[in-house]
Order: sequence, then C-alpha cells, then structure tokens
Amino acid sequence: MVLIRAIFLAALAGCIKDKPPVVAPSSVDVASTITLSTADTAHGVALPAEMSQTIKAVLNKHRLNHRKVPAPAEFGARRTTDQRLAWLATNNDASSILLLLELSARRYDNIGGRYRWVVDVQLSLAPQSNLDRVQIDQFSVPVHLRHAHEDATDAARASLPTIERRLTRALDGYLAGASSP
Amino acid sequence: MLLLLASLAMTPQANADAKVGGYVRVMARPGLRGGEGRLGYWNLYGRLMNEGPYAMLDFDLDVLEPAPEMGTPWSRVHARIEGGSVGSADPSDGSLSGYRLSQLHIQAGSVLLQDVTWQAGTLQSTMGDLGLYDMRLAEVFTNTVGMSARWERGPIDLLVGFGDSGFGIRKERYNPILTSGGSLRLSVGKHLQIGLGGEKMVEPGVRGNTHSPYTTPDVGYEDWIRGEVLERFRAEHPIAADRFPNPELSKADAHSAFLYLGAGGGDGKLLEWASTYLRYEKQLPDGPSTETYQGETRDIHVTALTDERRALTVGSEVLFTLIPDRLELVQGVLYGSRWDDDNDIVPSDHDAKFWSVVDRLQLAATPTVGVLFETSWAEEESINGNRYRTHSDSIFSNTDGIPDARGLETGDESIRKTWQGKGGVVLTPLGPGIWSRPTLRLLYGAQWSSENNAFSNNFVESLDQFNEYGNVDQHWNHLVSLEAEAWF
Repeated sequence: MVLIRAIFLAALAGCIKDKPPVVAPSSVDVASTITLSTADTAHGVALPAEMSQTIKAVLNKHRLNHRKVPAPAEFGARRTTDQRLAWLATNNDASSILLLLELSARRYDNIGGRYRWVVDVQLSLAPQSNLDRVQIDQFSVPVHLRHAHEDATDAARASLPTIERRLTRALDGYLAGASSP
Repeated sequence: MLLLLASLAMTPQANADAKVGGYVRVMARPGLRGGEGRLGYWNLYGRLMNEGPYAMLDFDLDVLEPAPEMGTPWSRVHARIEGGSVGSADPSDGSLSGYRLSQLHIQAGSVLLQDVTWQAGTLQSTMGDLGLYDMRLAEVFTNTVGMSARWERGPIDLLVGFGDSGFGIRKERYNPILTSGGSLRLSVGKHLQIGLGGEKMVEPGVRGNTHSPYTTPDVGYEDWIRGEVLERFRAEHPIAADRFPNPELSKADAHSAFLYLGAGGGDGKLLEWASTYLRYEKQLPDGPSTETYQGETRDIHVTALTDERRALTVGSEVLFTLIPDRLELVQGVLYGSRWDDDNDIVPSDHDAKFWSVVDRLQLAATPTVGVLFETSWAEEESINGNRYRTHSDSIFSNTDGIPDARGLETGDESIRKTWQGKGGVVLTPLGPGIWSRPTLRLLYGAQWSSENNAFSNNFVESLDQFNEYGNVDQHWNHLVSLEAEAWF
C-alpha cells in the first residue's frame, strides 16, 4: 500500500526529470526570425503571440540571448532558406548565431470531430560568420483543432510543444558540436 | 486497399507530399456486472465509457502541391478507411471486414475560380461537433457522392454541392437519391461564428424498378408493425386466386437544416468557446419488409407508412478554462424530439424525446498527469407509451400497463432516467488540456438507471420457469476502464 502510494505521488509530482540542456560556454546572442505561411494564401499569416516567448525560454535555458528579428518584407521575394539566411547574416551585426524558423500550416480534413492541420517546420541554425555550417531540421507536426474557425495561427500555436522540443534538441546538437574539438 | 494506400504513402516520389493521419481509441473494460464493456446504451450520457473501439486512417496525397504565391492549380487525393473493431477488444476481433473505405475524393484549386476548391467524390462536410456526445449536428452530404465547390475568402466559407446518396443510404437496394445542399459560415472577428446549412433529397420513382419507392395499398399501420399484413389479407381474401395488391409507385423526399452559433474569448480565457447547434430533419421512408404466411411470401412496401418521420435536435457545449493549463470544465446539454405522424400506437425511436446534461472536469496535476471527473443526467421519454422494464419480472407486452398479449407497449414505464459518474487518472504526453490527445486513461465509472440492466448484456430476460440462467435485478453498473485515445 505504501509502495502504491509512493508510486502515485511520484507520478503526480512528475518525478521524471528532463535531461539538462547543453549550455553555451559563454552568453551568446541569437537572432531569431520566424515565418508562417499557409497554402490558402500568398500573404503572410500572423504568428501566435506565445511563439516568441517559447523561443526565448528555450534559448535562455541554453544560456543564449534571444534577439527577435521580425520577418522583413524582403522575405516575400526571398523564398529559399539560403536567401533568407544570407539576408539575416548581412543585416544583423551583433549576433553570432542565426535561428530561422519557417512554418507552413495547411488544413486537411475533419477526423472524428477534429480539424487536422499539418504544420511543416524547417528549423535552421547557423553561425553568422559561416553559413556553410548551417544545421537544418525539417519535420511535420500534425495538430488537431476543435473548431472550424481556427486558422493557421491556431495550428502554429498547437504545434509549439513539438517545436520547443525539436529546438531544444537542435540547440543541444549545435552547441555540443560547436564546443567539441 | 489499406496496403495499397499505405504503400502509396511510402512510395519515395510521393513521400514528400503524402500525409497520413487518423484517429484511434481502444480499451479494456471487463464487464463484471454482466455487460459487454460499455457503461450504458449510448452517447446521450457522454461518449466517455459508452463507446467501443474505433480506428480511422486518413490519407492525403498532393498530386500538385498548392503554390499560393504563384496561383497555379493544385490537386489532392483524399481517402479514409475506418471501422469499429480492434483485435481482442471487441467480438469481431479486429476483423478487416468491419472496415470500409468511407471517403474518397479529389480536390482541385485555382481552377476556373480563385479561392474556390472543387471536390469530386464523397462530399461529407461538417461544421464542428459536440465533443462530449461525439455528435455532429451541423453536417451535410453525409452519404453523398458528387461534386461540390467551397469558396473561402476572409470571413466567409461557402459550400454548395450536388450528388447522389442512393448507395450511401439504400446500399444493395440502390435507387438514386438526388441530393443538393450547402452551408455558409460567417466569422465575425475571432470571437463569433454563425453558420447555417441544409440539404434536400429527392428519391424518384421509376416504374418497374423494384428498388424504387412503392406503397402497398390498403395496409394498416398496426398490421404492418405486427407482421400480419399478409395474414389479414388472406383472412379477407381466402381464395388463392385473389391477388395480393400490386405496389403503387411513389416517390420520397427528405430534407435537413441546421444553425450554428459559436462564441468565446479564445485560448486561455474563462469562457474559451461555446458552440450551439440546432438541427431539424425530415427523414427518408423505409424500404420494403418481407412477410411470409402459409408458404406465400410478399414484399410490403411502406413508403406511405414511414414518410412522416421528423427530428429536432438542439445541443450546446461550453468550454471553461478555470485555471489556465491546470483546470478546465466542459459542459454539454442536449435535447432531442422525434415524431412520426404515421405512428401513434407503438413505442419507437421515431417517437421519443430526450435531454441530458454532461459535465467533465479535468485537473492537471503535472503537465502530463491529470485527473478527470465526469457526470451526466439524462431522461428519455417514449411518446407512444411504456417502453422500459424497470425490474426483471416487469411485464412485457401490455396496453396502458395492463398485461395484454396483443399489447404493443413493451415495459412498465415510459421514461428512462440515467445517471453516470466517471473519474480517474489520465496521462497526456503532449501537455495538459481536456481535449489534449493522445491520452491514456485509468477510469472507474458507475451508472444508475431506472431501467433494469440498462446496458448491452447477455442476460436472459424470459420469465419462463425453464430459464436455467435465472433473472437478474440491477439498476447499477460499474466498470473499470483501461483505455487510450489519439488523433495523429
């Protein structure tokens, strides 16, 4: 009985601890830009308000300073990741790491009462000084929204937990690689 | 077909454009009270613990991917396979015969008209649902194949379509059922949604086609219900040379309409979202039934006896965020009225009223562990007299509560009252939230009903003295459920 109670309390307390993130050897600035597009329109879509906060929290856990760079109008013409990273590298002089998150959300069908969206994400990390060393992670996040009126912004919001996890993993790899000989 | 679609999704050249999604629920609920693993009869008491296993696979293949910045045509193939059987979780033991290709359609956009999506194939379209009840009251083209056009621009979402529901409704007794309809949804900012829609079905009669709607003349409703049409005819026309009357060609129609109103403050607000639906429908009549009397077999065509069935359903569901990311409450209410102007004598699903209220509360102890409580109260009333047996020795056939071997009433009460309570631990690996999925649940549920043994069971109800299994009197049902549910 005592054992069962202990297991239950441990489960409630969430005793499984996350692995500590790899931290930067010294405080480093990261210029982050996020884009969100949808297949339904050629125009950009508003980012969820929580997105910037989430990115900032993940960066801070890695001892990285978040510097938000709003997606410029030039990105309408610069559609490839290479072009966008090059623009960021030439227009940010105080950062040493560039983070580019490109999200594309698309609604598919209604499945069992939920609206299925897929958010395709391309996460790019690169040292500002050398874009050839860019590290790219591509993944898709299926999300299921409750209501018909919820849009690409809501889908991006729902995909945040997965993006947070993948960004943590990408930063772990990036920083571990940067610090290794 | 499943393998074909799966291999299609795995094909290297299609891999970048193919999306596979779906829905599953599976459970173990030992029926230690004689039941078959469900707490009550149906979702009126809340879908939780009242549904069986289910699996659905959705395939989307972008034949031509959308390129909004270029405005070029795009096209997508969509297919869905679904069914209600999972190995070791239900009597069919996961048999694929319980699954079907329920949806197949092709969409095309940026063709002819801007912002219009053309769709050919299955047309089912819904405007949200009542999640606690798993009911979709704002749905059109449920059984229709045909073509539709959806225009989405800004706050307007307009759908019109036309097709045939004959196979979807009549199955092997196919007869064309021409269906047209549509829906319109208006967004007023992010906090108010108004929707309406409906459809009209017409089933024409084609002389000579045995599957067309017909009516056998001079058939009394009571004779048909008792299966005594042929017997009565032969009693009145004992000479074999007297022909049973030929069916008269008829036609049938049905229609439905719905209203939707959605409002709320949005994610994280106290009143996050409230959805209210109203649906009215007139149903299509039944096909023929078959009677055999003294070696003579006849089809009894009953279009005129079953073409006055109507249904009104009103439902609402409200999501309250009491403490963001910690405590949420969903409340659902449902009212339904069914009436059949052809039938004033026999209790049936087509002459009934019901209402219920369901409350579900979920508290997140940690982001991935929570506790869930749900309770519901429901009342179902039979308009045409007694229908529910309240004890194991209650009367069967009766008239106004008096035993009558020829009586059409089947129990000793016309109202069934049901209470359910459920609670337990839930694991939500993707984070807290009452609608967060996947979820793994360990639940205990209890039901009290005014009806005896009000759950699917294997009891013998006969009061025959040779009933070797005996009768059981119980108004309670208890279940423990180990279950999982996921959208993916």
